[in-house]
Amino acid sequence: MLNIKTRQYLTYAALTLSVALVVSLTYQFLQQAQIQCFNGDQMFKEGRFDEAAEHYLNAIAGGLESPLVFHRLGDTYLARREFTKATPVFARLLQLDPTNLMVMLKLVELYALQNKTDNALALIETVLQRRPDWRPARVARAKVLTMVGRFDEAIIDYRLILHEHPEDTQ
Amino acid sequence: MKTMLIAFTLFLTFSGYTTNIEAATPATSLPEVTQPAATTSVPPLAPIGEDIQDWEARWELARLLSFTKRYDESLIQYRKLLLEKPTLQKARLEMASVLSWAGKTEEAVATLRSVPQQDIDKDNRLAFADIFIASKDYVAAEALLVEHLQSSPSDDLARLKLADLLSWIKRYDASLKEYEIILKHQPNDSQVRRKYGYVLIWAGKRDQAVIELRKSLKE
Repeated sequence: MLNIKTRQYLTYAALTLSVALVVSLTYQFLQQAQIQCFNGDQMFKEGRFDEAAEHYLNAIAGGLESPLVFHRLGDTYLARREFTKATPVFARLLQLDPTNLMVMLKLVELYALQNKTDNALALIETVLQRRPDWRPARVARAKVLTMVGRFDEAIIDYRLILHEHPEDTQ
Repeated sequence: MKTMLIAFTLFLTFSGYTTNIEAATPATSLPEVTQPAATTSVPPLAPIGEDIQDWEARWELARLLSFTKRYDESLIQYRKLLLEKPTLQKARLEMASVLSWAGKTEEAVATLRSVPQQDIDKDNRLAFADIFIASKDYVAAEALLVEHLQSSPSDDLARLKLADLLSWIKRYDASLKEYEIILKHQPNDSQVRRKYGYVLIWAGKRDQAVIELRKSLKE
């Protein structure tokens, strides 16, 4: 029978080993995920979007849930014109980074590309409320308004973009 | 279905596909150059989400103003745009269309003439042929129609336009050839056959004209 002291040492040793094992495994997983991400970037640069997407998905599955990886995965789907796949990726990205107006604008683009113009307009209003003088957002709204045939409202936006008074006809 | 009918009606109006049954003498029934229904299918200059330059925004604005029939305002924007980008022939062509819709035919023709013919794209040739016809510049209209028919030989509406035009300038044999091609494609079109009959009369081929006009009545 082991005495109390020895049992305590053994318990500490086991715990330390477990922690070391977990840290080491996590580190290895993350390292592998980062390698996947790196490989994804390489594939993306070479235009091999299918493989790039696979690598990014593996990176996310490996625990690398960073906004950067989601952004790259979303861009990969966009490059493949897989809008229905890109949309939830950017939506997730917005959850991770809720104040990112660029991501919102990307989602506006995706909604518009899928003819979900109501969603696009609702989101663009949010963007413009937060940053009314942001030109790309106003351009995006003008374009979506044009898509839905609301020409008069689009005209007002374009006049604002050009710093022309809405009533100015000269 | 309703939209298709409206589009077809507009197309017929726009292409001048109407027959004046009482036209017993050579006469030019000039097509009225009208603006087609406002379209939302204009390809965007840049993807949504990307910023655009001022001239691109002005171009979009000019287009939208023309869609809403605010032609004078649209022309102001086109002029500003072309001051900034004088080599933008596509915009110049669009401005020519807007000028014609605004009833400024002479200016429209002058604008069209300033554009090299090779810059007039396939989709716009018919509309621009109408502008030239409206200004009685049949030579320019004929050139556009012939070019269009070379790439789209089965476009009978364009061919009918050409046949009409050739009859107005008394080139009856050339006109009759075009009518014959249309009638080969559409032998039961009594309106075309009636027009063909009239041109035969004007060409002095009265016997053949009687046969064709009788046929057209049966049809």
